[in-house]
Amino acid sequence: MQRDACVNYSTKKRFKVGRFFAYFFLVLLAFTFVFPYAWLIFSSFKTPADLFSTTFSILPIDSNGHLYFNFDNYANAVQMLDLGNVFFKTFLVCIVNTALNLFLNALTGYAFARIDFKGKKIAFAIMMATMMIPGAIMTIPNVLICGKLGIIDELPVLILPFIMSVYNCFLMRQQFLSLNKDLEEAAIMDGANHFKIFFTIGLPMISPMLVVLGITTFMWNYSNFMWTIFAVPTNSDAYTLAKVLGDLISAGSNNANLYPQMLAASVLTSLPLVVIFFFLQRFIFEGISLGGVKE
Amino acid sequence: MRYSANKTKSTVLGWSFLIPLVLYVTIFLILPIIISFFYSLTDWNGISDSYTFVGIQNYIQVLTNRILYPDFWKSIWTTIKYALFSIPLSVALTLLVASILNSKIKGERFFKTCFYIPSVTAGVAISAIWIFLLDPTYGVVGFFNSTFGWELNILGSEKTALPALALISVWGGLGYNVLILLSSMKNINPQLYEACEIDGGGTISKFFNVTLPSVLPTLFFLITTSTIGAFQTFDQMYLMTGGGKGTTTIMFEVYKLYMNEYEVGTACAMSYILFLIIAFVLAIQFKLLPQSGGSSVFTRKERYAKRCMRELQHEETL
Repeated sequence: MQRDACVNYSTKKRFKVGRFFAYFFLVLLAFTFVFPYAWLIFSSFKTPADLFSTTFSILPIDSNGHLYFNFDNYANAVQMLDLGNVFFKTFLVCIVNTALNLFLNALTGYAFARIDFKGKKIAFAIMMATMMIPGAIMTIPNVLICGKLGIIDELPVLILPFIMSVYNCFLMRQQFLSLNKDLEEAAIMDGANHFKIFFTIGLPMISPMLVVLGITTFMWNYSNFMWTIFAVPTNSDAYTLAKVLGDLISAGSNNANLYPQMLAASVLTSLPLVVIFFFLQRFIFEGISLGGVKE
Repeated sequence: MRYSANKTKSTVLGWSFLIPLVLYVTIFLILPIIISFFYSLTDWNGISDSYTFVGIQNYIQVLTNRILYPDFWKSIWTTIKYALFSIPLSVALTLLVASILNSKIKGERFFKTCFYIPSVTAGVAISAIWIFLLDPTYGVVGFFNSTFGWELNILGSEKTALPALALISVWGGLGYNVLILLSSMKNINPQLYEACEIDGGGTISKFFNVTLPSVLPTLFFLITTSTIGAFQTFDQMYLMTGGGKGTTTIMFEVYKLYMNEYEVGTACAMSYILFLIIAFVLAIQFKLLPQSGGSSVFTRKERYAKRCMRELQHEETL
């Protein structure tokens, strides 16, 4: 009897120790995520003198020990990188890409899921095969074709190659297949054609998927960096945020004098996505379980 | 007769819906592949109107000429090292964190949010954060250096630069991987755990007998996508080390050839070689790694879980 109680006690204790280590580990790990961001944000408000001072301080504190927030780095970054203009162009590109991407992929996904036609299987198989090609490998080939189209170094080069995505198209098809088609069949009985059905019934029906893919497509376009190096090498009229910040950073990795602007510009660049994330977190987490988020 | 007319009509309709896809796939996937393959057989420099057809010389030169392309084999080795640093660590950490978060932990949402933030930060901004943190004079590393008299220069040393970049990529990808694995863990039938418990299995036994076999398909998906990502890695090297200190990966080598050396033909050839390397590595992974509970080393555990399941159901019916 006593022995039993003893065993019970020790397993319970072991359980508690295990829990303690689990929490300890998670908190430690969370710290490695929160700290860099906290440090970035606080440092971006420091005066260059404090930023480059060897006295260690996380918060921006002046010589009297008062907390201060200095916005000069932000003003300098906005002026130096012409951020107002660049933000506008970046949002323009991202919104156009996302809208076209959702519409065209939904259209294709609808056809694959709802219309029976000759050659559908082959078309679908070819589409799935192209999904296997890793993205970065297509960089040079796509730069070459954009050269032939004459859009290198112009704004359309950031739009045209991204107006569709085979992966999103596949997800849209899956979404349509998973939904009941009673409504659509009733509409066909009433004599509606597929285009009308797509707009009036199909699109509204998959709106949750449109939200999820809309967020992820927007974010992907916003962060897309490698393509801009190859496709927009010199024309600053077509530079996006990722490109101007990237240029500043690769210069900053050799030149510490650029740190103040680099930090402020990084905060400004991160802000829109982080805000979207906190407002629409539910959809993003949901989208991941649907397989709707690509890296 | 009417039927076949209908069929023609629906074929026309179906393909009219597919016009955008056909145009897109042709212009941005199929044509580029053909054109770049053609150029990979020429000595085109990207600017001039004329070029000569050189056959598979570009491929041979890249693979064998150590004087013209001294860094090519090194870049492959660098990429492999980067993959070996990042993928196992990423998979192990993802498994650990996801299992902990799956064990009815308090604050699950808070932790998930923390780990996911890098995934919604533009990659360029992440590089900025880490350049600053790792700066040997001003960053956190700078603080350690000045306080303890260390001489760490993590991104400026051959030994540490590549592992550091790999670690940063593990850090950045953790949230996404954890969420995917966690959603797969939440779909596991709780009866399997009960069965294991009845057999006297503890936390560890549950992990190896139930959790791991159940999430194998997801784990395999994560491994293959991380592999594809690791072999194409470029952004960090461009931003943080400029390809210096032993961090020139294959994609960076392609970039240098294309942008700095104007060797379009060779850059195309190298893209194709990279494609073959990735295909080869994935083929090996498909062959060697267990993709579902049904094959390879986990078969025994899976059978065990299924037997537990049956016994449990049997008990319930009794």
